[in-house]
Amino acid sequence: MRISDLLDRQVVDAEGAPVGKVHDVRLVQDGPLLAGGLAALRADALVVGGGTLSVRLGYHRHGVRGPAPLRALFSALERRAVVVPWPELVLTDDGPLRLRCRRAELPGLEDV
Amino acid sequence: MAGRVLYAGLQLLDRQLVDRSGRLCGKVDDLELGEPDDEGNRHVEAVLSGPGALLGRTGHRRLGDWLRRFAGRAFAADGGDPVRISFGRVVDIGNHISLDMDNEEAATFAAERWVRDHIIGRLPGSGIRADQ
Repeated sequence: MRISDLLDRQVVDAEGAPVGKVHDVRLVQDGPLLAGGLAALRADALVVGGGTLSVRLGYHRHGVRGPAPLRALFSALERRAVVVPWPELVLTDDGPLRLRCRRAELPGLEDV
Repeated sequence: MAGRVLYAGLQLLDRQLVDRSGRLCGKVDDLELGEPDDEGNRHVEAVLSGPGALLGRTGHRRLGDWLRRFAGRAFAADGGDPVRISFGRVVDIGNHISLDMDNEEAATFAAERWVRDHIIGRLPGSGIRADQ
């Protein structure tokens, strides 16, 4: 599986309600130590919804400080994204990715 | 202990790959995830670099697949496309991705090297030997 197999895929929750598109994959560097001296990156969660541009700019996650009007706008849009923990995900080859939970149960970007 | 958090799209994809001598050797065009381990976790196993992987990621999957097949035949001796670099060869992740290998070992830029060896290198006065 590649990261590109996940990006831009539609996500629907356990009741079939649309959640949005996958805009990013959150990785946590807490896996086994590798030959290069770094710990392996574990796929931890998907960032879904919130608007393509705002999530790609990463104003909120990167702590970008300016210009202030753009920061206010794009941070607000980015914070509308939800985080789908990896265990809640049902991987499929085609079509939308399905969740084991409802959209309302998903944490926001500020909650993780 | 909680590990460092990285976002693939924000902090890894499209980042420059740099070899141990500081030479550029392509960009991160995709990441390969391994099969789930005993706890169901998937880890990044490899960095993929090459236009075939990039096209697949940017919504031109059929064109990317065709390019991968074409490059697999045309540049098989040069590593094909995309080049798969084990994540174990990554030594640092920052503004760029540092690799514990040489540019030639990474085997990226297969098309460019083919053009250099088979066309540019054969031009009189090019100053490039075909075996360089």
